[in-house]
This record gives sequence, C-alpha cells and structure tokens, in this order.
Amino acid sequence: MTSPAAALAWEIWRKNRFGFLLLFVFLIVCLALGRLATHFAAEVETLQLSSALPAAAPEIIEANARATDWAGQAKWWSGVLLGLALLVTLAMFAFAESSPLRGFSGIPSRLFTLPVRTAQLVAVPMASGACFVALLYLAWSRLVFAPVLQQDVQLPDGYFLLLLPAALAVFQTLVWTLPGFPRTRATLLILLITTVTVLSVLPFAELNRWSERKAALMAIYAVMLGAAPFVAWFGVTRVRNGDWRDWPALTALMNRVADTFSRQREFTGPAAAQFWIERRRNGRLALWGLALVILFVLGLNAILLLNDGKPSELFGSFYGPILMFLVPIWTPMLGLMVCGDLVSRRLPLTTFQATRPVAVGDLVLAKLKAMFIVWLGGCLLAALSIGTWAVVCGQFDAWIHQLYDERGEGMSLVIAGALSLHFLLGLFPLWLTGRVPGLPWSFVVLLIIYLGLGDVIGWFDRHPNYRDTALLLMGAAAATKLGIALLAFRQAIKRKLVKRGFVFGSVSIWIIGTAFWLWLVSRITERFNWDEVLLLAFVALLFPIARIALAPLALAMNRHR
Amino acid sequence: MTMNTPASSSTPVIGISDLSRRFKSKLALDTVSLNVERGQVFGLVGANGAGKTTLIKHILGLLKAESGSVRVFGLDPVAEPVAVLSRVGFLSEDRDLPGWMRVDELIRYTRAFHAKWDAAYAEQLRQQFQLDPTARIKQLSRGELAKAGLLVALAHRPELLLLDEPSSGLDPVVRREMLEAIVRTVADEGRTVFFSSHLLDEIERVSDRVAMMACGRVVLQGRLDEILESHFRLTLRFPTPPPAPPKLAGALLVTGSGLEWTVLCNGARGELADAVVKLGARIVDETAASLDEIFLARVGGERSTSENLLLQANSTTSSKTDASG
Repeated sequence: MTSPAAALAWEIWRKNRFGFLLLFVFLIVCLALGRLATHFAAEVETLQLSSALPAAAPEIIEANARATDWAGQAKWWSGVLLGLALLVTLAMFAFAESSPLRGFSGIPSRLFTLPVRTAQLVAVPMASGACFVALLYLAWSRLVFAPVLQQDVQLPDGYFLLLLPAALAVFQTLVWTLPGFPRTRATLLILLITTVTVLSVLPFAELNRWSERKAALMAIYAVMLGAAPFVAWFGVTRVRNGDWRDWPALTALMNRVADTFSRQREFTGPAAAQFWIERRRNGRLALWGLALVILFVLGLNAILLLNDGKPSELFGSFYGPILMFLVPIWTPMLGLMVCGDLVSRRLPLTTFQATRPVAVGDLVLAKLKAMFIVWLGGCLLAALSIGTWAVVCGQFDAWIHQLYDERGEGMSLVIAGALSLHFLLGLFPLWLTGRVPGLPWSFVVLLIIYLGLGDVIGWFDRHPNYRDTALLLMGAAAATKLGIALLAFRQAIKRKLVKRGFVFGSVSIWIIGTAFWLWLVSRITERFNWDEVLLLAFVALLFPIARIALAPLALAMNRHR
Repeated sequence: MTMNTPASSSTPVIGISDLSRRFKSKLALDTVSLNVERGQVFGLVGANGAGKTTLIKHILGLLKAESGSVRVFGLDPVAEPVAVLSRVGFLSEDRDLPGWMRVDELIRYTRAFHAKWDAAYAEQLRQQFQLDPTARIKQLSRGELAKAGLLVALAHRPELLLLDEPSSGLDPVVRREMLEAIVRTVADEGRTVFFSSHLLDEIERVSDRVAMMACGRVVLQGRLDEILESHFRLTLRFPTPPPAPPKLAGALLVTGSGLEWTVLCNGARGELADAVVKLGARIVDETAASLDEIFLARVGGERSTSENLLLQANSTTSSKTDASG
C-alpha cells in the first residue's frame, strides 16, 4: 500500500468483498434473464418471418406468450435486483463500525489514531462510493435494461447519475456526523431512503411540466453532491476531536422525554421482564420510524391537497404507499430487529442475554409476544393515520363502506394483514440461530425469497394448465411444514427447551388462525369464480407453525454454541 | 422444566473433566480437568488467549463441550441452563449490559429473574459503588460499568460467583478495596467464587486455589499455599563458569551467567541439594518463589526456552571471556 488513500480503498474492498461478489452475481442473473428474454423475442420474429403461419396460429400465440412472459420476468427481476444492489451499496459504503466502548457506530474510531487527514478519511469512501454507484447504475442501464426495454423507452440516465451519488453522499454524511444521536440519525436515514424511493419513481410518473421539475431537481442533487463532502468533513472533524456528544441541551431533553417512559414498577416475574426488554429495545424505534414515514407521506399529500389536488385521488396516494411500506418493508424489518441486537445489528445473543436464567422457550415466547404487540401497534398507527386522512379528504364514509365490501378495500386489507403476519416471522428460526449476518444482509435475502415466491405464484396464476402441479407442490409444502413442526416440537420438548403449554398454545393459535383464513377464503370464493381448491391449499400454508416450532431449537443453537 | 437440584455436599460446585474445544484449527481447550469445591475462591490465571474465557463460557453453558464433561452443582449447564444460571452470579469480561437501560431499570430487570434477590443489599452496593440510578448504562465509565455488572451479579447472593477478568477497567484502589473485599465476603459466607485474571498479585491475595492455563491446557493447579510452598528459588555458585546452563531435575527455569545461576525449582529440597553437589556447585541462597515467577516459569515455557538458548549463548561467550581474562 503506497498511500493512506490506497489503504482506505483497500479496506473498503476487503471488508465488503462478499458484498461486491453478491452485486456481481445480481448482475450476471439479470444479464442471463435479459439474454433469455431477447432470445424468446427473436424466436417469435423468426417464426413469423420464416413460416407462412397466420398470426393466430397456436405456435405463434404460444411463442408470443413465452416471449412476453420472459420479458416481464427480466424487467421485474432486473428492477428488483437493482433496488437490492443499491441497498447493498449503501451498506458497504456506509464505512461504519460499531464501537462498544464509545457506544456508537460511525466512521471507525480506530482510524482517528492513524496519521491520516480527516479530509482523506472522508474523501476516499465518499468519492469511491459515488463512482461505484454511478458505475453500478450504468451497468444496469446499458447492459441489463437496454436490451429488454422497448426501443421507445429511454431511461433518464443523467437524472439517476446525479440522484444516486448524491443520495449516497448524504447517507454517508448522516452516518458519520451524528454518531452520538442514534435516534435522530435513524430518523433522518429513514426519511432519506423514503425520499430517494419517491424521487426514483418520479421520472416514470408522467407528471406535468416534468422537464422543468427534472432540471430543478438535478440542480438540487448537484448542490447536495457538492456540499456533502464539506459537511461530512466538518462533522467527522468534530467526532475526531471528541465533540460527538456535545449538545447537552438536546441530549438532556431527549433523556428527559425517555425518562418519562422509564420502568418504575417491579416486574411480576422473569417472563414479564423478558417481554419488557424485547418490547422496549426495539419497539420504540420501530414505531417511531413508522410514524415518521407516515408523517412524511402525509406531508407530501398535504402539499398536493393545498395545491388543488383531488381529495379522492389523494386518499389513494396516501393509502397505497403506507401499506407498501408497512407490509413488505417495516414488518420484516421489525421481525429481524426483534431477533437480534439493534446496536450492533448482529444476531448472536449477547452474553448478558444468554446468561439470563430463563428457559429458551420463554426467551422465544418473549420475542414472539413483543414482535406481535409492536406489529399490532404499527398496524393501529397506520389505520389511525389512514382514517384521519380519509376524514381530511372527505372520503371517510366511502372508505368505511369499502371496508365492509368484501370485493373492495376490506378484502385487500385482510390479505395485506395475512401477508404482513407471514413477513413478520420471515426467516425467524434462521435469524434466531445467530449464525447468519444481521442487517442488511438477512433482509436482502428475505426480500429475494419473498419476491421469488411471489413470482412463482404469479407464474402459476398466468398458467392455469399447471393447476395440478401447483396443487401438488402446495400439498407437498403443507405436508413438509406440518412434518417439520411435529419433529421440531418433539425435539424441543425432549431437550426441555419448551414446556408442553408452549406447543399447545402454538398449535391452538395455528388451528384457530388457519380456520379463520379458510372461512374467509371460502366466503371470497363463493362470490368470485376463483379456484377454490388452490386458494384453500394456499391458505393452509399461510399461517406459521413450522417456523415457530423450529424457533426454540434455533435459539438454543445461538445460546449454547 | 427442571427444578433446582441442590448438589450434595460432596459434589464439587464445578466439575470439569477432559474438556476439549476447538475453534476451526485452533485448539482452545485441551483436555482440561478441574474441580472447585464449595466455599473456595478459585483463581484461574493465564495469558491472553490461554482459554480462560472459553472455559468460563463452558461453565455457563454458552459453549457446548466437544469432548469431556462440565458439571455445575452436579448439573449439565447446557441441558439445565435455568437450574444452573439461577444459582450463578456472572460478571462478563465484555461488560455487555444493554446500553439503553438506566441503572435502576437494570436492577429491576435482573431482580425479576431471582427469587432470592436481596433488595437492601443491592441498594447498599449501589451506594457503595456510587452509581446514579438514573444514569444510562451507555453513559457509565468502564469502571462504573464493571461496578454495575458486579452489583447485579451479587445482589441475589449467588451460590457461585463467576467473574471473568473482574479487574479490567478498575483502578488499583477500587480493585483492592471493593473487589477483593467483596470476593472474600462472599467466600466467608460459604459461597464459591471462580474468577479469571491475568493479575497475579490479585490472584495471590484472594485465592485459596489456583489453576494456571497456557495454550488451552491447565499446566498447574492446586492450593495456593501448597503451590507457593513447593516452589522455591536456589542461587548456585560454581567454581568455574559451566559451559552450559546447569541441568537439574525439578528445575523449571534457569537464569544467570558466569559463576552464579538462579534456578526456580519444584521438588524435594534434599534431592536437589544432592544434585547441586554432584554438579560441583554450592547453594548460596534459597528464597521463596512468588506466584509471578512460578507463572512465568510454567506458562512462559516456550518463551523462556528461547530466552534460555540466548542466555546459553551469552553464558558461553562470557565463560570464554572469563577464561581468556
């Protein structure tokens, strides 16, 4: 290594080499999908040109359907994997380490003792991050999207080449400059990611006067990209000088607010104490994050409402994003947070937690209860905000009416709730083992699994000829699930990890939950001509039992290594 | 769920036999065997990486024995974690208490797990340690963190107090006045203390029984007074410089040059005296060895071997110089 800059760049590479490898794999998968899509499109053209078949011939129809199918798959997965690749890039270039002694995670404090200028500490990860994210986008834009998108669709490269580096630079600045204020920092990071998601969708939203707005936004991104290094340098200099927690008034105020909720009563027993710690350490942050996103979306919609937006449309534009955030993002994040340690973002149990004199089953039960209560709180918060906004938009009566209509919003909400519960448990047993990486890696894997499942379900929906195969697969999955649950419960009882009451409770809840969904679905299928057998089989799979049964065994693996 | 099973008075509080553990290619524990009896203060001493924390994690059931067995109060801590942990007070080397908690919340939280929690004793310790109940754990200094950890480890008056590097982060005054006094009080009440440290003076002042670890093995264990009694230092004088460091059965460490050599011995004094005479030397001084010296001789074996080789080379050079002089 010939210079500090080279050493810092090497460190980024060395620490994140598996992340870079993952991005490469994503790219290869997208390229392969794109290649298949273009191959099937070419096949249709060849068939049409070389044979004298009419356009309505079964061969042509079949080839067309195949080409459309693959084109859709390629576009969908390329978009999804690009999104995940950007998340991974944020994690890699955050260039942060947690320092237990100083009680924060931020720019590695060990670097402050090296003879390297603060400007260099800031510039190397920031510049390399900006270049990398721009290259990443270009790779997707030119290599992945260009062949699969139609000729008339052009990606706004300039817009994204400014937005993404600016977002990364702001992200790094927040991570590095606010290590003493983890809650404030988490709040700002949630807002940043939400904002960037909204800004990424804007070019495709067919807005009025988009070109003018685009120019203004690009100017803002350029200013942010230029200013971020200076702000970061200023902040990191303060941290390096030990001034990272010197806003005593703010700290005192936040502590006073937190103290009003501090636990003053004695606990009734170990179970109550364990439930409290699980709920307390993750619940506040999770609910606070959700509330912020709700406020943010509410703010955006309020601005539109004040600018003569249509209340009926604005109700939908609030309702949709909240559910989109609540179900596939907030819920699995909550599940992951409850499994691990929030500060270190790692999943292994701390020695403090592992040495509590409670059975593994009670530890699992406390986690499950805390998870469910916070999830319920989140759902309530979302429902309250949607209700309030419905009143503001004058849509309350219509919304309530829709809720009672089984063909309308009510049924969507029920389905969203069922999916949300499924997401909440996510890869629960795997996370509880503590032998997989924590945030964000486990979250990325979970998203890939669920997107893959969604894709498979979608494929069977589009190909009714394969109904029997689908049924067979679901039957096998249900049998496997119940088999796993049976074996896992037996093993857990044999190893005295859980009491029989735990098994009885879990099985009872599963039976009641599944019965409820079956009843609901049978009512739906009465009104619509949906495939009753398939739906019922799917519903039998929906409510978790195998993951609950495996959880004590998994946590025992974590506790007794 | 298993109920607490009181171990009979003959059952050791900790019984470890032939315990081995490997982390990938590194052998962290190599057929370790030791027993800790009720009411003892057992000091585990070893250099960094010797396997002390790994051994303590096995006692707590946080690591499973790959081979051999671990019994605490006659129970397997992996199979019966609740029965074992409810009778153990533990201070971790990491001090990984939840940073977001306040001191009073930590006390309340820990109390919930122990039926025998002594609230008055907890309050007395809190005042003695000068811990602010409203302070957040993450805002405590390293020493205060150790005190908070010690408070919650002691307040339920555990039958076994396990301390992993308890002195880490404590200044010498606090260490002596607080920690050692507490350890002795616990032992005087008939309870057992097992603690690891690399501070030999601390071990020497507090322990009844000592085990020394090096490279995952227990190289020496026994009652402290017997260990000190059986090790001694002899100063030998030769009429002419010996060509090589003198070799004595029972010698653990030989240092010196020229005519005078110091030998740290472990063995029967009479036999050693005869052996010295056979070498043509005479004993000019005999002193008691400190635990520090015994530790260096036993644990620093490999290092002292290389140092001895260097000394041997030096002594050869100096004897040649003497002879030519």
